[in-house]
Amino acid sequence: MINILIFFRLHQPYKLKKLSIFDIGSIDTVFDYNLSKASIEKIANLSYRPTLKLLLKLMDKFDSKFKFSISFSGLIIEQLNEYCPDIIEIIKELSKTKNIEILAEPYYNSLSFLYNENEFIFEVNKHINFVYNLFNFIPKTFRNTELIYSDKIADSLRGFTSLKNILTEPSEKVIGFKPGLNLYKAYGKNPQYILLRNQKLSDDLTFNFSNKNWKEFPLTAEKYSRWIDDLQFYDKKAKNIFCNLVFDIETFGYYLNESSGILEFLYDLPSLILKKGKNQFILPSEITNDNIENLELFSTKDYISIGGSSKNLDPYLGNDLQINSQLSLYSLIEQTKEQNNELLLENLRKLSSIDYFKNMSEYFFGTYDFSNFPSIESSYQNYLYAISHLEEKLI
Amino acid sequence: MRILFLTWEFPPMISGGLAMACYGMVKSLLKRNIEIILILPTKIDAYFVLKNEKDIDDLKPTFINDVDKEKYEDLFHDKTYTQSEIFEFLGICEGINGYSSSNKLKQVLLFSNFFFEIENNLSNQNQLRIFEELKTNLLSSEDLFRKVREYTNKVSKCLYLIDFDIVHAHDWLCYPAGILASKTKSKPLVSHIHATEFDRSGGVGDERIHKIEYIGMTLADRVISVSNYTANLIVNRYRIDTAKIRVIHNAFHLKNIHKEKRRIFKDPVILFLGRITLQKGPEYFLEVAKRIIKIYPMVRFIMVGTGDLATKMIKSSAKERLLTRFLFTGFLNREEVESILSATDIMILPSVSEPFGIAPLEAMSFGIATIISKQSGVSEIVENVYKVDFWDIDQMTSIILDLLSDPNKMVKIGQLAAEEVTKIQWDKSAMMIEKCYKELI
Repeated sequence: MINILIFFRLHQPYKLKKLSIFDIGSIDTVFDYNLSKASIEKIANLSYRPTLKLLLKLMDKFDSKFKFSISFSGLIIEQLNEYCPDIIEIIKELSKTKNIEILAEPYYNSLSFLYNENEFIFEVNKHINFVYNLFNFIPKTFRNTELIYSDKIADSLRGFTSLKNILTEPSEKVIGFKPGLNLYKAYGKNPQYILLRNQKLSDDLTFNFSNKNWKEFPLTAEKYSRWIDDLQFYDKKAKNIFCNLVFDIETFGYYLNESSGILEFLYDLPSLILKKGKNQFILPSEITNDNIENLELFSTKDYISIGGSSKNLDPYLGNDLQINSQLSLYSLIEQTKEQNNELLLENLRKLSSIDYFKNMSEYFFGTYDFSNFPSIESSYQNYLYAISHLEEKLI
Repeated sequence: MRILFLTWEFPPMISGGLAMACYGMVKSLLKRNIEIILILPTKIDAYFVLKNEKDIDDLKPTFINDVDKEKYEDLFHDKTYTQSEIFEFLGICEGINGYSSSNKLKQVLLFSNFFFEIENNLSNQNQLRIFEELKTNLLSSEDLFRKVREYTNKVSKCLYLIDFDIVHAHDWLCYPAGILASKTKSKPLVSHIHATEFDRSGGVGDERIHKIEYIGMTLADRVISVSNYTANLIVNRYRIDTAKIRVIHNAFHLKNIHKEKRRIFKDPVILFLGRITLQKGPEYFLEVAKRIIKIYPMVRFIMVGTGDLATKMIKSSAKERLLTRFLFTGFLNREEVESILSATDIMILPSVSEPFGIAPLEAMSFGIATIISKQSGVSEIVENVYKVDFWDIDQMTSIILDLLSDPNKMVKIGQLAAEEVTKIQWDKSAMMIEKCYKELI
C-alpha cells in the first residue's frame, strides 16, 4: 500500500518599505501595508481562492477518500484576515470536513531556534494556540521553517506533547542513497515519527511543470499518478510506502499561472491516484505503527533544510550580509524584551521572517517576486535601515 | 575680460567636488566683472554666457543650431516651466555618476557627432606630433573616451560663434577641447588641475589619461594647481615647468551658516563622505570603525557615496559583524548631503591622495569635528581640524575615542572649525585667478 500525504502551505511576509537613512527614527512603520495588501490580494485572486475552492470541491467529491494537510505562517493569516478574510472562511470550511490536518510551524517563519530556544518555543506555542483558536484544531505534526531539522529541534519540541510527527527533507548524509519512502523514527520519544518530503515528485511539479525543456514535458496527472504507482518497485520489502508531497499553495495559479493547466492537473490527480485501489490518502495523525522499534532512526546533529542544492543552512546564513543582519535582529530582540516594549517586539518578530534573508542570498535573489530590491546589497541595506529605525525607537 | 570656461561638472551636474569648486570660482569671477562662457557636456549643443552673478543659477542657454533654439522657445516661452524641466531638455541632470569612479555616465550625456579633425588648425610640426598622440589616446571606443571626443567636437562648433580672451579648462576630460579652442583662436590656455589620474586611481591608473593630462599641461600657458600637494605631484610625475604653475587653493562657497543640528540618531555619528574608491581610503574608515565599535559600541558609522568599492565595503562591514553600527546611504544629492551633515558629529577624510578635498570644508561649516589626511590639499589651508596620515588608524582611533569621551571638546573644535571656514572664501582665490589671467593678456 502506498500512503500518500499531501502538504500544502500558505505563506507571504509583510513587504518592507523602501527606506532611506533619513527615514530612520521618523517614520511610523517599516512595513509597506499598501504593497502587502496589493500583493496578498493578487495572490489570493490568482491562487489561494481558486485552489482552496478546488480542494473543497475535491473533498466533496471523494468524501473521506481524499485527504491532505495544510499549514500557514501566522504572518499570512494575519494578512488574509486583514485583506482577504474570505480565504480564512474557506480554510475553516475545509477544516470542518475532518479530512484535513493543520500543521504547527514557527509563527513568524523565522530561524529563531538558532539564536534563542525560548524565542523558538514562544513562536511554536503562539502558532499552536492560534490554530486552535481559529480552527479549533490541535496540531499533531510540525514543520519547521524551510523544513529545517536536526536533533536539536526535536529536543526543543520535547515539551509539546501533542506534536507526534515532524516533516523534513531527506538528506543523503542521514539516510544515504535510500529513496526515503519509509516512515522514520525520531531521536527521542517525542515527537515520534519523521516524515520525509518526496523530493523528486514534489520538485517535478513545482519546478518542472512548465519547463518546456524538461524531457518529461508536458506533465499530465495521468503520468504523475503512474510515477506514484511505480514507487512500489523501489522498496518491495516495505509494507507501507510513504509518499509525502509538499507544495506551496502559491504554486497553483501564482508561480505557475492558470494557463499552465496546473489547476486542472490538481483536479484530475486524486481520482487517478485512487483508481487502482493500491494507494490511499492519509493524514499524518493517522499514522500508526505497532512496531516503532523496527523503524529506522533518523538522527542528525547537522541542520538539514529544503534550501538550495546544499540542503543545509547556507541559503539562509551562507553569507556575511545574512549573518550580520540576523545578529542585528536578535540582539535587538533581546534588548527589547528587557525593556518590555511589546509593540516593538512584535514588529521585530515580523522582521524575523526568513524571506528577508533569502533576498540577501545570490541563490534565491530574483526567484521570488517579493524581492522588490535591485540587488542583494540593497536588500541588506534596507533591512539594516528597518532594524536601525526600530533601534532608535527603543531606549 | 571674457573667459571660455570648460568643465565636465557644474551644478546641477554634480558628481564630486569639481562642480562645487567651479561654481564657487565662477561666482566670484563674475563678481570681479569677468565674463564667462561656459560649455558643459550637455546633450544639446549649447553654451552658456554668464555676465553677472544671477546668471549662474539660471544657466540660460545659447543654441548652436536654430532647430534646438526653436524647440526650446516653443517649449519654454510661457513661463510655467520649472528650471529642472529646462535642464532636462538641455540634457543636464542631477546626480550623475562621477567620471572618475568609472565610465558610467548617464545616457543623457550622449552626443551623436563625430570627431572633429583637430589637426587642420595646427601649423607647428611639434604640436602636430603631440596632437597625433592626443588623437590616438582618444580613439578608444570606451564610453568615456567617446564622450570626451564628442565634447571636444561640441566645443569646436561653438568656437565660430564666440569670442574670448583666455581658455580655462578643468581636468583632463576638457583638455582636448581646451587645446583645440586655444589653437584655433590663438588664445592662451590655462589648464586647471583638480585631480590627476594618480589621485583618482589610487595607483598607477590609465596610461592614456596620463598622456592627455601631460599634453594638456604641456601645451598650457599656465597650470593652476589646487594645492602645493598637487603642484609637487605634477612637477614630480609630469615634469611640468614650475615657472608656469600657480598654486591657487580651492575655497568654499558658504551658502549659510548651519548652527542647528537635525539628528537622525541618538548616538554620535561618524561620517565618511566621498566616492567609495581606493583614492578616498574607505578601507581605513572601516578599520577605524571596527576598533571604535569594539570599545565604544554606541556610535554610528555612516558611509556616504558610491563607487567601485561600494559593494566590497558593504560585504566587508557585514563580515566584521558591526550589526547596525555601520550603515551605507548610497548616492546622496546636495540637499541630502546637507541633511546628513547636520546629523553628523565627526567626519573623517582618510584619502590616500587628495589634490584638494572640499568635503571637509563643508563639514566644518556644519560645526563637525573633522579629521583629514595629511595627503590632502585642504590640509594646507585649515587649522582647526585633526591632520593624520591616511594610514594611521591608531591615531584616528585615539582622536575619536578622545572626542567621544569629551563631548564638550568635540563641540568646541566644531565651533572653531565653523568660524575658520567662513574665512576661506572664493573671493580671495578668484583674485589670484584673475591675476593669473592678466599675466597672459
